[in-house]
Order: sequence, then C-alpha cells, then structure tokens
Amino acid sequence: MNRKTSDKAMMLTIHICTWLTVSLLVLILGYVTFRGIWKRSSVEDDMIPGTTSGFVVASNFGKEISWSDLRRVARGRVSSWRTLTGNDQALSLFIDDSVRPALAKALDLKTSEIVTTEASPAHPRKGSLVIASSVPKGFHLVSVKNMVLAVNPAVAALRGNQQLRAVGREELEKLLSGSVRSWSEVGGPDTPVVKAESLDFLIGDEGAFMMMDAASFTGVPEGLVSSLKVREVESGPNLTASFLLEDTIESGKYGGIRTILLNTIIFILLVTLVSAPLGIASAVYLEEYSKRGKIYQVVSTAIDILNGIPSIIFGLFGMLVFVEKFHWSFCLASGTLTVSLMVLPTIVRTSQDAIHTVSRELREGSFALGATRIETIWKVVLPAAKRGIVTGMILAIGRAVGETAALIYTVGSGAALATNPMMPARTLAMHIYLTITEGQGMDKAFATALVLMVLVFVFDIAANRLATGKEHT
Amino acid sequence: MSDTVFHVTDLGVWYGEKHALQGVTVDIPTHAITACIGPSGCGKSTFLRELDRMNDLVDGCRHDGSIELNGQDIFEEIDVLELRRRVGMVFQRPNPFPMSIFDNVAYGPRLYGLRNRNKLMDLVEQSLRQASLWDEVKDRLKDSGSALSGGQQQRLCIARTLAVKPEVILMDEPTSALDPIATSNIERLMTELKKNYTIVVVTHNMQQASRISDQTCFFLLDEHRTGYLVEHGPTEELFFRPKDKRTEDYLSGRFG
Repeated sequence: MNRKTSDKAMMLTIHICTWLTVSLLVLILGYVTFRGIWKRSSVEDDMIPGTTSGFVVASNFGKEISWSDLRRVARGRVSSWRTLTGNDQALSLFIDDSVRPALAKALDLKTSEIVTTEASPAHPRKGSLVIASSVPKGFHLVSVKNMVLAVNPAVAALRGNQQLRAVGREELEKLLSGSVRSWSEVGGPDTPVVKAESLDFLIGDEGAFMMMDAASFTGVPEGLVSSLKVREVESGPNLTASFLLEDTIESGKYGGIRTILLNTIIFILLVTLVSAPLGIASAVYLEEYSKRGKIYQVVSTAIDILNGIPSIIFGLFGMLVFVEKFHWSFCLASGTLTVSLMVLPTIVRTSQDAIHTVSRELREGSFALGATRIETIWKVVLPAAKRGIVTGMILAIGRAVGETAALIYTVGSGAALATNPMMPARTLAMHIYLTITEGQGMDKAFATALVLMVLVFVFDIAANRLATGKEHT
Repeated sequence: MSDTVFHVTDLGVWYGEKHALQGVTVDIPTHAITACIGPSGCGKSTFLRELDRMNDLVDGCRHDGSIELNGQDIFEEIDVLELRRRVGMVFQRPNPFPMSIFDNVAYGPRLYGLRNRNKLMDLVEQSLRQASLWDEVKDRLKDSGSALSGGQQQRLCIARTLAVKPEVILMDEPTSALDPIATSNIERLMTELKKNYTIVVVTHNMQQASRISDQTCFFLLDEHRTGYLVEHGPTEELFFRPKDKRTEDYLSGRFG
C-alpha cells in the first residue's frame, strides 16, 4: 500500500470514529431529552376497568380508581386524594344509602363496614367523590378498575427462572378474542389457551383463563387461581411545569421535584463554599510557597491518588466518620463534606495547573512595583489564572452534582427542603437513583434526569460567562 | 554624589553553584541612560536584576560586594519593597496585568494606599502622558491591557512603572520583542524620560546602545563562563576608541 492510500485510509478511519462518537453522544442526549419530555412507560396493574352494577362512582376530581382504593375509601380510611393520585386535595365522600348493599357486595364488604355519609353534596367542593345510583350534575363518571385476569396457577407458575406475570393490553384483547392458541405466544408455558366459562373449569384446566370481578376473585380460596397483571403503555407530556413546582410525594411516586431541585442548588453552593477556598488555597501553597522537595512530592502523589479513588470509597469514609463517628447521621452536612473531600483533588490539580501557567514575567512585573508575594498572588496571579480555576470548579461541581455513590451512605433520602445542614436532603442524581431502585417509575427518573442535565448545562454556561466576562489576559 | 545614582562595588552573583557575575565596579550617573551590552549569558541581565534585587526571587541566588543607591546600601539599609518602588523595572516581553489599562497603571499607587479616585485618575493620566500613550488610550481606559499592540503594551508597562514615581528605571531588553516602529517609539520615549529619570538598559542591539545611551558597560564571559565587566565609559568613547582589545573585537563583530 502506498503512502497516499494509507493516508486516505487513516483519514477515513478518523472520520468514521469521529462521527460514531458524535452520533452516540447525540443519541444519548436525544434519548434522555425525549424520555424526559415525553412520558412513555408501561404501567402494570392488577386490575382493569370494568363495569359496576347497582351503583356508579362519580367525582369532580379523579378519573379512575382501583378496586382496592375504592374499598379503602368506602370504609372511610381515605381523607385525601394524596394516596390515590398524588394530589394534595381533600376528599369528601358521599354515599347514597340506596346503593349501599350493591356497593358492599361489589367491594366484598359487610354493609356495616361502609361509612355513613351525607347522601349527596349540597354544595359540591372540589375533590368530592360520590357513590350513588346515577352521576350527579357537574360530576363525571369515575371508572373503577375491578376486573381481574384470573388464570389457572399453572399458567403463572415459575418455570426455571421464567414466569409469566403480566400481559400487555393488546395481548389481553387477543386472548379474549381467542386468537392466541398457546400461552407461549405471550411468554407463558407451552400449554393451549382455554377461555373458562366457570370457576370450576378455571381450576380444573391447566391453560384456562377467565375475566372475574374483584369481589368474586377475592372470594376464591387462596392458591386455587392466580392472576396476571395487565400492562398498559402510558404516554403524554412528562416534564411539565408542575413537575418542577410541586413537592415530592411518596418518595417520588407522585408530585414533582421542587424541593429536590432546591436541595441540589443548596448542595452545590455548600460544596463550592467548602471545597473552593480549601482547594485554591492548597494550590496556591503548592505552587507559590512550597519548596519543590520531598513534601511537595508526597503531597502531589497523594493528590493524584485521591483523584483516582472511586467515589464509593469517599462515601464509605463519609459514613464512618461524619455519619457514625460524629453522630451527624444521614444529612446534608455529611453529604456535602464527603463530596467536598471527593472533588478537592480535582480542584487542587486544575488550580495548580492554572496558576502554573501564569507567566513568570507577570509575577515579576508585580514584584518590580514593590508588591509583596500575597499582593502579587491576590491581584495578579489569581486573576490571571481565573479561567483555569473556574474551569476546574465546573468540572468539580459537575462531578458533585452527578454524584450518587458518595451520597448513598451520607446524605440520606429525605425529599423535604433542607432548612438546616443536619437535615437529610436528596439531590437530583440521588433522586434518579432512588426512584429507580424503589421502583417509583422510569418517567419520573427521566424527567429528573433532563432537569439535571439542563441544570449542569446552565451552570456551565454561567460559569463560563463569569470566567470570560471580564477577561484581561 | 548628586550625579551618581548607583555606586556598585565589586559585585559578584551566584545562582546556586554557578558563579554568574564577578567583580563589577561601576557608577551609574543620574539623569542619563546607561546601556549594558555583551554576548548572551554574560551576566548583564543578572547585573540589572541585582539593582532592584529581583534576583532575591530566584532560589539559591547569593551575592557579594555592595550596591549603594544614593549612598544607602540596598541590601542593608533599604527595605526591598521600598527599593523596588524607587527602582522600577521594564521587562523584555511586555507584561500587562490581566486587568484594564487604568487598573494596570493604578496598580502600583494602589499598593501604596492611594484610593482617592480623582487623585488616581490624575496620576494615571500623568503617567500615560509621560509614556506617550495617553492620546492612544484615553478613550478606552476600561479596556483590557492585553488588547493593546505590543509597542503600546510596553509603553503601558513603562507608564505603570512611572506611576510609582521611581528614581531609576531598569529596562531589560525592552524592545527585543517589538517591531522597528514600536522600537523607535520606545527609544524616543527613553530619551525623553532621561530628563527626569535615570535609566539603565540591557540591550542586544548595539546600534540602539550607541543611539540612545550616554554611558555603556561592556560585559563578557571568562573561561569558567562567569560574567565580568570588561570596560565602561561614555558611549561615544567606548564605541569609537575602546581601551580594551576585547571590546574592539566584539564591536567589530569578531565574536559574540
């Protein structure tokens, strides 16, 4: 191969690699942004909406309610929509006496267990829930999720490490229309699908399924039938203004991230406040004062090693020292100090480099006018190194704001606004981690991720402005 | 004494083990330009940097002999910060501070506690005028010092030095990083400044030394690569009737 061809081949390789990198980055950014903006998650539910006989549920607030929630409501255990939909809205309940027997039957309750309320709202307030024989004026029908997809236990049995636990909405339609021949088509065992007409048949046939209302399903002795969850794909706007402005409810299952966003900003400020003076002072000492001797070597090596240590180890240290030894418990102070220690090496290193690049002439120019060493550092060296130092700070803050490993054992998981440093305060990154591990929903995690990305971006731009705004070098 | 600013006696300088300069004895006359010439590494810059003790900043630098500034020993009787106020320095590469033109010139006065905005303004204007830079920058005092051209930057550095009202200005190859036009501007400025200040200039440019200086010091290296002063005297005399054979050889381009 002659030199020209190999040159062309090299250029082509470089081009391909570059475009691959760029498209991967765009893909990641685009995906997170898309998922952050547009909700597209599958929600598995025990029951699907069905019809009610003898009564209707109506409301001027919620649109649907699950059978078990309705059961709790009817027993008078629910006073707020908070646990039903996540909204902080008082729930006022009205049950018409005439529907009590039918309601009791449908909910598998005794009539006496159902709370007595006023029959109908005279002046309907927001958040009212009415159970009556017809939908009152100004109210809409609430669909009750009360149908269970009951199957013979053999269908939902564990096979090796596989188990059919849920079917999609379309798959359910196909099952009902009879176009699915074998359970293996929907991820189950290789047994023929049979639509059961009676409970006995359902219990007797290995491949039988049947739609049952919740009350009758609950009545079946345990172990005789199983149920499959129904998976539904929810889509719609994900990151909305209310997500940013609402408080977090039930560890992120409902509500928004207002307090978490504020906590993150407080966290960033505190980390900066702790780590910047320490880091920059150390860098100044190492570059301007220390003799290039043994101690300098040892400190430099130590900083390099600390820079490479995985953050989980800092987390472990923070837990043992701040959380346990100091008895601070899981709180903002523990987390802030842990992360500050973690980013300190980065700040020292980058500041050191920035200070190192300030020319000797500049320093001498200041000394030649009769300035002292500290005047020279403060008025000439640091301003000249400002850009590099700020860049280092951005890097450090970027690490801090995206950190989870060092925070898991230190900062706690409280979602309330941290009004003092001894309160637990999850950051956005921790919130993503926690919502996923606690199974509170991918959508919330992606929406939070988008906010985190934007926050880092805004921070980056602001810091760059700060560094270049009054540039004199 | 009134016509001698610096009285240097038997000055020697070491950088660690390296003996950089030895046995320099010379007087620097008042309100005149003294040029230091010689080949690279001959210690002329070391000599200059000893006059305002910039060599103190170099680790392991020692000296012997004595230097008197108007009769006061600069190592014993004058505080180093006070010395550097009285003896300003302009460097080879223009080194404006990373701040505005105004702040650059006001840097020195502010160090000495001048805070009054009007007085600072007057001083800055006066210094910039003396450095013949005022007309070029009077409308853009808030601009960054580094936005100026090389020659303007060097004049800014001179103005900065003038602002602390020094007695002597040391210049370490002040024009070697500049183009010919900027160079001639600086040279004209130097001739202007010598009416009020004493100037010591290190230069590689022999024509420059002969054009502007009143006294010239010629340095050379000995066999141990230690610099020493070969001869010094009025510039005209040294250039046209050198007493020493080595000076004559150097000037006629036979070595160095």
